[in-house]
Amino acid sequence: MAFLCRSAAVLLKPSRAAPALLSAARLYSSGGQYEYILVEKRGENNNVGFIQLNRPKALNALCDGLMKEVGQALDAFEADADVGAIVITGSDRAFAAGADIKEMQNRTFQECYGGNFLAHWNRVSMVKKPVIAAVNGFALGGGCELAMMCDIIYAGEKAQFGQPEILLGTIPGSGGTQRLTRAVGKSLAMEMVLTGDRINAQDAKQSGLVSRIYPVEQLVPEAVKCGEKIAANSKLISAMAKEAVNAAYELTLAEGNHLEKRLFHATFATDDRKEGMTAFVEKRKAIFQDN
Amino acid sequence: MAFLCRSAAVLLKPSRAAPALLSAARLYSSAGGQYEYILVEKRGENNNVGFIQLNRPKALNALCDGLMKEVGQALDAFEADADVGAIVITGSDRAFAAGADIKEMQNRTFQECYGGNFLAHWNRVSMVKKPVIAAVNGFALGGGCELAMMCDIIYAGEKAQFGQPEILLGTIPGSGGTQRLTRAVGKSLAMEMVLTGDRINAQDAKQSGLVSRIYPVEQLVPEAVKCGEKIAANSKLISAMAKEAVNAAYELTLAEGNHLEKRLFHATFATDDRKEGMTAFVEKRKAIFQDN
Repeated sequence: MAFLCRSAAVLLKPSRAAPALLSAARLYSSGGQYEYILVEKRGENNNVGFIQLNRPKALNALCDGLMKEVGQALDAFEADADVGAIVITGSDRAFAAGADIKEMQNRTFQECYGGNFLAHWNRVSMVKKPVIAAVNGFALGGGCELAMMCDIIYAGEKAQFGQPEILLGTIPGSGGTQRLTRAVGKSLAMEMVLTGDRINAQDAKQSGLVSRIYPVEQLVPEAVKCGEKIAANSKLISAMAKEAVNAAYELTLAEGNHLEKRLFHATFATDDRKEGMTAFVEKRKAIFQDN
Repeated sequence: MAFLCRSAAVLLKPSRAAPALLSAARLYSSAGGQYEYILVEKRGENNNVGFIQLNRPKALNALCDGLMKEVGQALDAFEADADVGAIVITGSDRAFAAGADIKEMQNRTFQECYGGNFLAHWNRVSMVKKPVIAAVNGFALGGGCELAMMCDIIYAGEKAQFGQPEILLGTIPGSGGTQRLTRAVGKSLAMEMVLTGDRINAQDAKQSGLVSRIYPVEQLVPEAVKCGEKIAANSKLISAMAKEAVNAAYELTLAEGNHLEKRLFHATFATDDRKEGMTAFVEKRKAIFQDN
């Protein structure tokens, strides 16, 4: 909380404050200050990239600028050799309560199609490193879709998930109809998409949408712990494992097994595989080099 | 219950009873005749929920070709009815549909099945553009389970039982049971049900993802109608697009499904209802959809 207050206090100052006040390097992107998100590295070894959506007055409603900044932060973490996993979270009250409706209220079909509206919003689903969504409070519409683009979802006890776009006369536009259905099954997905009704954390876990529930204040530390567990493994092999799991949604079972086999064989071309198996046989801790 | 007793009483009379007795318009199809195997009406405060009740009580609603044809006719009528925004299909308290009519298919040959495309039109429910809710009390077995799974949403009564017992008759599910059940409940449970014929109860069905809600027996149908009303309050045009996108999850890869969803999403910006919905949101008022 102290971190949030300090950051909020700094952000309330004009953005061109004296460099001394902004010496906390974490608030800078590689070339400027983030306006909509907070970015830092967490974990004992600073190996978990941490992105916090920060539009409190809008309950973290996703606007184009915020999604661009999330993309920039992800680019930086992908390039950072220290970072082995990434956690994305919001506030205690809201992960992200939707997309910014005012921003899209007056768009036309022509503008949407021609400008490929929402195209870059899938950046999270293109990340090679494992991404954990830590969802406290509302994950609705685009916020639910953002969480589902991540690899793992942890939920706080008061989390609520929903796709209420139908109530605005539209449909989910960033994968909601596809990922929700694959996660929770047809009946529940149809019910959520056609009525706009929400489900709570317990329903979300029971239906397979999230894998763990934690008390609100423990959610983020536990998500970071999960990130640390992942970051202790080989980044190279983790990327291959994630690629294989994601392929389950793109290929038939036979071809998915084919891809997995090719990736599995490929791990035998790596130092990390040799180190991991040798360490196991020698009953010692493996030291991975991401190679 | 009163409704069912009255209907049962009417139906027990000879089918060519005097028109005065059958003045309850719901018993007529729009084609001008009377339904023999089903009861059809509109429900909800605004009469915007189409309601189809399977009605072969002596056969525990076993699905025969005639019944499925009538269901198709009722669905055609509701699709064309501008008042109707959602449809509920249900059976009796004892049975949603306890299977297909075995006597009807007992002596069929492979040649007749293949040449006559046996069961082809039984998938009509899966072709409906408007949202369909199955309200399952009691037995949904074999073709009955398959019929429920063709619907978009399944609500179950506390005593509902789902099963695919075709294997015990020396055949296999023929209307999507092996496909929809597996996608809904996972391989192990689907294999177990299909290979043993064993049933699962309502709690198992919810926990496995087959149904999304369970209600006490007498509350099931009213709650299903309420869900239909909730859906019917939205734009019919946009609901059809939403349903199309969700169904595409079972036909396309994730990447291509996202592609289709994006195209449908962009297309909503060509509709009046999308503009009305978002404008109403920003202006903090209730949206008035025109299905346009």
